[in-house]
Amino acid sequence: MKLCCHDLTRKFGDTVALNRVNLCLEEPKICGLLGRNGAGKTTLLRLMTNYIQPNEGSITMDERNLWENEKALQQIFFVTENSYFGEMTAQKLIDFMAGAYPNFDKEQCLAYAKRFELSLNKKYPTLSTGYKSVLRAILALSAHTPFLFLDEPTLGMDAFHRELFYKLLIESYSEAPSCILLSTHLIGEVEGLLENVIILDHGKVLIDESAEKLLSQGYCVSGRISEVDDYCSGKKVIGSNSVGGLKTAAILGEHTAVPDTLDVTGLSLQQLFVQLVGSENPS
Amino acid sequence: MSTATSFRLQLKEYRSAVIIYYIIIVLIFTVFSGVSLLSIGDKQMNIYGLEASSVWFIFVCGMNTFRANFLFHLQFSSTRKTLFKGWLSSAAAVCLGMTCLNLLLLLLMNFLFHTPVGSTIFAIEIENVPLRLLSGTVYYFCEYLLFISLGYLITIGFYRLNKTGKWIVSILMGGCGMYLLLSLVRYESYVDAIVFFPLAHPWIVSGIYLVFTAVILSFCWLLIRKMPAKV
Repeated sequence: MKLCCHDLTRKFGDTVALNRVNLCLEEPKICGLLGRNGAGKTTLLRLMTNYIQPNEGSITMDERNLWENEKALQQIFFVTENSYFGEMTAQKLIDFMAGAYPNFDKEQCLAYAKRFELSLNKKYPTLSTGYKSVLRAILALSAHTPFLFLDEPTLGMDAFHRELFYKLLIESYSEAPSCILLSTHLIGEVEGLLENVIILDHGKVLIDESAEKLLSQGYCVSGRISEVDDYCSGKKVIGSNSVGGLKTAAILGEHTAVPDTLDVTGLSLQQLFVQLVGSENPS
Repeated sequence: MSTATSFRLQLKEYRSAVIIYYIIIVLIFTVFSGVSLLSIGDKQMNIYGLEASSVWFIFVCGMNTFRANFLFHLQFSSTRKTLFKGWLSSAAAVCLGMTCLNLLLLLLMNFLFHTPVGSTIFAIEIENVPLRLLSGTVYYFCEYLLFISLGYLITIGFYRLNKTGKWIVSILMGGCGMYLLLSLVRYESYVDAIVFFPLAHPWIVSGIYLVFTAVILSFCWLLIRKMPAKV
């Protein structure tokens, strides 16, 4: 199954939220949708789930237009902070999901609820911000739709719940692989999960490639400040950090002839992201 | 989400409101019947207003059944078409249900308190009683459907408007409404003719209501089919 955006443009008044976006999502894959605030991440997700219509361009699923296509829409489940679940209790929502999505695993969802210690008889609006996220997350993880879009899924969750969520995400993905599009600002937390990275900047797709390939574009060296500075001269340094007498520098390009006194590690996605979309110049 | 699920879901939205409405109506009827029996004795009494209050109630219902259902349908990967079909069938069911309930209530009042029931449902100028009840039922069903659709159109229109638009339309609608109410006094004879026309020609008026309903529903669909979700 293939979900594609073709020259997708969406404007809000004079603001261009998305500008001729082209991308394709194929299952099974865990993709990260990254971008600064206002980059167009949520707008893209809302377009791909029929919440809003594009001004220009189209979205297709297996060559068929997605707009008002119930059969195609049933292949997508989308949760966001603004998801509307009415006044239903968690239990009723789980029951409703079981009727609405043929692959929804009710037993699994109830088991997840137990692990998160979610009270099933509470109405969705009365749950705390963290538990609202928990409920949305367990519904999403049990939906088993070919496409799963998660917009800031861990919003308001405590550290324990976030860890558990990522663990269950991997478990669920291993059991029934699908295309998971994860939009988040917590890049450090999801870095290890992502197979593909899509970076949006000012409404345009800046990067759409595998995480491995993206991170192989650079490396980090650490050691004494003077040695690191010597090594970095003439190289493209995208970020650095000094603590005491030690310095770590992130460098773009292939690493060649690194002195033994310096440690070499991989580049982090967050460092690369900040460099690619940040407005401040690298040090 | 299938249309049947959408129908059930949207029908549930009316349930508590309709129950509360009829509890209030029954209480009012019981209190006034009791008071009338005590003060007038076994003389005949009249009870008016059930149809008119039902019309206003159903109009308000129409104005309150869009946003939540719309967002809920989108959340569960449903389409605007399913939402509209589900709403239309649930609205028709509520209108039919309320028409039958009103009829039953009036017959019950008639049976219990021997009230001639001044309700207009019996005032339709047809001699044959079963035919009069049937034409009254059809007439009120069409009237309720018209008003619930009108309420729905207003709420959809407002949902699509931006904040400035909402202010402008509200002021214009309020102003026009006030002007219309004040102007009615000058055209009392025409108003009376319009009010009493359905009693003489319930089938014709039912047909006219259905045509107006169809026009309103067409506007509703035109607004819904590309409606953006505002969250």
